[in-house]
This record gives sequence, structure tokens and C-alpha cells, in this order.
Amino acid sequence: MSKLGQAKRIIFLKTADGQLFEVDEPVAMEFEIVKSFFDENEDAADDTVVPLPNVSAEPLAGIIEFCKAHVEFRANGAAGKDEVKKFNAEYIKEKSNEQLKELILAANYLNIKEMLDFLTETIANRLKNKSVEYVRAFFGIENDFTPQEEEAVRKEYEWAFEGVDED
Amino acid sequence: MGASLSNLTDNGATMGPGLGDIPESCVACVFLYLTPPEICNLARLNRAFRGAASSDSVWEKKLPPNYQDLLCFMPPERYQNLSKKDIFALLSRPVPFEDGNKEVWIDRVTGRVCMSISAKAMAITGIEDRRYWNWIATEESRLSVKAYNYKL
Repeated sequence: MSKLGQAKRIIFLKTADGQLFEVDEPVAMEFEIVKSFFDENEDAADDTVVPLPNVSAEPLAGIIEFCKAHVEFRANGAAGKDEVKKFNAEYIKEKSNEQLKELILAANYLNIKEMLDFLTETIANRLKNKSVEYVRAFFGIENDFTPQEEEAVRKEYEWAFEGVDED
Repeated sequence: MGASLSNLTDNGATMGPGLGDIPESCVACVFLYLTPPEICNLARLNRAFRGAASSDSVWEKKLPPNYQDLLCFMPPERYQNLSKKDIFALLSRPVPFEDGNKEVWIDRVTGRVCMSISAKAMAITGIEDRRYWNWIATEESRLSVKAYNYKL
């Protein structure tokens, strides 16, 4: 951990596809997995490279962009304000479902609660009021049930649709 | 979870275009933002969604804080050993109490507690006076009789 007055510490992260990222310490510490790496290795040298074998460069770049912005929002006392909502909306607007999935997998592995909450809420909004068939096609979700299992699931959840018209 | 992550790193370029293999724990987080009917609908997507849709951690957030009080109106054998999802399903149907003159249930969409009270359970002035009031059997109401007012 850097102390006051010291130069800003940089954390080195290496992705599964071999890319090296240099990240400001406060941003890297948003990643619970990186934070616990340094908590467990207190005397790790300053140039220690933290390997991230489950994350590739593209989602990591996206995650760093998000966390950097949010660390700044908190530092400026802007957390929870419209500015943050605007940033989040812009951030997610251009993301495809595939990119969204990669971000979720990476944020889940790196264990970044704030980002994971935001991503899962975004997915929930994209899934709202959609039929199973639409969601499977649009999100590339494969039906891995046997016909018997499919029938069993339908029966298991029948109660939720009692008295609701078919659409 | 480990399996889907290693897929990502082994052949990131050949993955399908979607959310197919997000881990069950993430699906459970997604469900926190959806209503029970939406969750029950999405349980039919695949095994990961079905698994998340039956997890207690999802349903205990959908149950009202006082759901235990509602269970008290039922014999324990009806709710013992049930998962939180099954308790939600059980309580989403009306539970009669006080001789069937009142019912409580959980609204399936909002998860809020609802109650209906029969006119039988209300204190109505002159209710026993046949000149003004009569009890009429009805099928329109769940509570089998309604109070009919002639003139007042």
C-alpha cells in the first residue's frame, strides 16, 4: 500500500492473452482478487506482476475504464449523482450482449461488487418482459434441457402464471 | 463457474454471441432485479437459469419480511422442509384464517402482503336487521357470501 507523500503506485496486471496492463493502485484495488493478492503477499515487490489467467485484454480494458471513472466519482463526492448514471448509461449503450457477457465473467472473477451489480442490473433490464424463445435467440442461450426436463420445469413454475392470460 | 471461465480463455474467439454460459451465481444476481413471474419464466431458458431460479438466496429477497407470520395460519406440515421458492408459491395462493372470513396472500409481482376481509368479519351497523341487510350466497366472490343492503 502506498503511503501519503509517496509517488503514485502502479500495479501491473497480466491477462490470459499475455497483455500487460499498468493500473493506478486505487483502481486495481477495486478488484477484490488483486486486493487480496497484496493483502496475502504484503512484501510483494513494487514491480510484481499479478497474473489474471481468466481474463483477456478486451474485457479488462473495459473494466479498468469503468472502475477508474467510479473511483474518481467517489473521490469527487459525485457517487450516486446524475453524473454517474449518465456515465453508466453511456458506458453500456454500445456494448453488445457478447461484450456484456465477457464483462460479467471478468468482473465476477475479479470480484468487483459495484460493477457486477451494475452489469447484472443491465442484463435484468434487457431480459424484462421477454419470452423464453426471444431471449434464447437474442442472447444465444442454448436449450440444454431434455424434453422431459423442459416439461418438468414448465410444471414447476405453473403457479406463477395462474390467472394470467397467455401472450 | 470455473468451466465457463476456462472456456473463455481457451477459445475466446470461438464463443457464441451471447449470455449462454454466464455462471449460475451471476444469474442469481440478475434475478434480484426481476419480478417472480419474470424469474419463473426465465427458469425455462437452460439449466443455469433453472438452478438460479430455485435458489433460496433469490427467493428470500422476494418474500416479505413478515412471511413467517403468514405461515402461522397453516399447519406446519404444509411448509416444513420447503425451499424459499416453494414457500413463495404456497403463499401466493390465498390462505384463509378466522373461520375463512379473512384471507392473506402474497402478490406474485410485488411480493407484498394482501388481505381480503369478508363482510362477515366486519362490524356493520344493523347487520342483523333483515329490513336492511341480507346475506346472499354468491359465486362472484371468493368468500362465498356477500352482504346485501336494501336501503340505508
